[in-house]
Amino acid sequence: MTSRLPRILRYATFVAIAVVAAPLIALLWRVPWSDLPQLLSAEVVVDALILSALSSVCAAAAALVLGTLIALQLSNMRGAAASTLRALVTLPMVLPPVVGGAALLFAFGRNGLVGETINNATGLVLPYSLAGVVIANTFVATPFVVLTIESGLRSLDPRYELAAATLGAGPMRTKLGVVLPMIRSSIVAGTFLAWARALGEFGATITFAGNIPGRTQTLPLAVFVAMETNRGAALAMSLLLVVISLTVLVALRDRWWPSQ
Amino acid sequence: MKNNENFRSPWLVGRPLLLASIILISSLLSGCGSGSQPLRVFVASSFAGVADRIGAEHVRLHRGTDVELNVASSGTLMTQLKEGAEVDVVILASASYMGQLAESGLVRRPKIIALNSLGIAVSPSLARQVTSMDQIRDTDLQIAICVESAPCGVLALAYASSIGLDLASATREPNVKAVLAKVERDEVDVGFVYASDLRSSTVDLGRLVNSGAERHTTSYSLAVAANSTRAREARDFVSLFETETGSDVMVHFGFELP
Repeated sequence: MTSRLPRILRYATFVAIAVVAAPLIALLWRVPWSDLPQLLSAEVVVDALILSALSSVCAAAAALVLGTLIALQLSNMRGAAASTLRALVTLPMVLPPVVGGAALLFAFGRNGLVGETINNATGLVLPYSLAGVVIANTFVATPFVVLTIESGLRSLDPRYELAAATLGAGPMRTKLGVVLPMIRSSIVAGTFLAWARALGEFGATITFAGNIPGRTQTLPLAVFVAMETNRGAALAMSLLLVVISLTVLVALRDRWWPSQ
Repeated sequence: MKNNENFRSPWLVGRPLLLASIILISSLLSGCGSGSQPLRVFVASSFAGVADRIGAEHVRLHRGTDVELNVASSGTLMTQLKEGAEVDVVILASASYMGQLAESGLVRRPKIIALNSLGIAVSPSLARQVTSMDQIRDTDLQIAICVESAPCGVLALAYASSIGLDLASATREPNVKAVLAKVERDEVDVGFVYASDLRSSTVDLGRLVNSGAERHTTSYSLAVAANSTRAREARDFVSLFETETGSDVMVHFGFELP
């Protein structure tokens, strides 16, 4: 900290923080604390929790692989081509998730561009299945891996790569054995962010994978349904999501924008 | 922050910017907040087409007014109303939901304006093959129903349990229009919608008859909100549903009259 904010900006900051914090405080205020154990052990909640855990971990793993590949490519590119590709692959970050879900439906749905072929060839239907949830989650989570890893790659001194090559390492070994291990904190941060984003995914999931309790109904979907049927359970699950997300963000601290 | 010294007097340096931002923000806030106020109508998804048409009629009769629809499942609308949403007219697909709102003093004197029943729609690609509930029960078709908080979900679950149909693997969509859209576009095989949807859908759907679903009925209830700031205009709007035009519109959209 090199300077204090001017007083007027400090006051404005209080307002800004209050705007962000008020809904969270209100959520905590509404949580039926004494019923919490019972609410969290309801079948619908446990099912949703297991599904969320499973799908978000799978999605984070898939996002890690896809995101790393894209980031490696991006870090070698310059100029308009790099900006265009980066904009394209990070689009799901700013796109309304429901649009993402619709797009997935057009691609992998039963009558989709690719989905119909897959369906005819294998009988596999991606929507309304756990695989569909993972695809929707991966779609929204991958950009987080791309951005954090690309930023890590760009801040890495290129001489390491040169040195490895000079010492006889092939291009594959240079990338996998030298470059990636050196940016592992970016990889970890990107993966956890992707996981947290996947865990909170709602719009793309309900649009693409539907809302089937025990099969595609993840925690956010269960909260959405419970808001109108069982307010206590909705609050208990919301609390769970807040705690998990907050833990991830606090644990990552400043690492999720590692270029600074 | 380097060059801290240069920014010692933010009031002098920042004033034009500050003023500009205050003006910008306050004008934004007032713009986003309220202009001339429209009549705010909360309407169940299945009834949105009717409310839209009657709203246009209302605007035609009362120049300079505007009608604004908030369309969602009756369950969602209930939640919003209980959390203090500001609204003038409420139309729900369930008289018992409306009864709860009346009991909590949120609406006044609800009135039943239309009737509807459960309808079973089959996707265009299966419309010829699947013609009976037994086929649906015996095959592994993907079914879509409404969430259980929506009246169409309540009807679907009651019907399924009455005929011993397992809906565990059915997808629960947020409202009936979402179910209809999925079955119309072949994204699911069977959709539990309303009879009104079957009558008014322009898609080549399979429409199951004599499935027993038609015995599961719901009534549409209309009321002026207790906290309406434009109760007189709200009552004008409400009375339109009882005119011949109102009846025509409801029948056109596939509803039955009480």
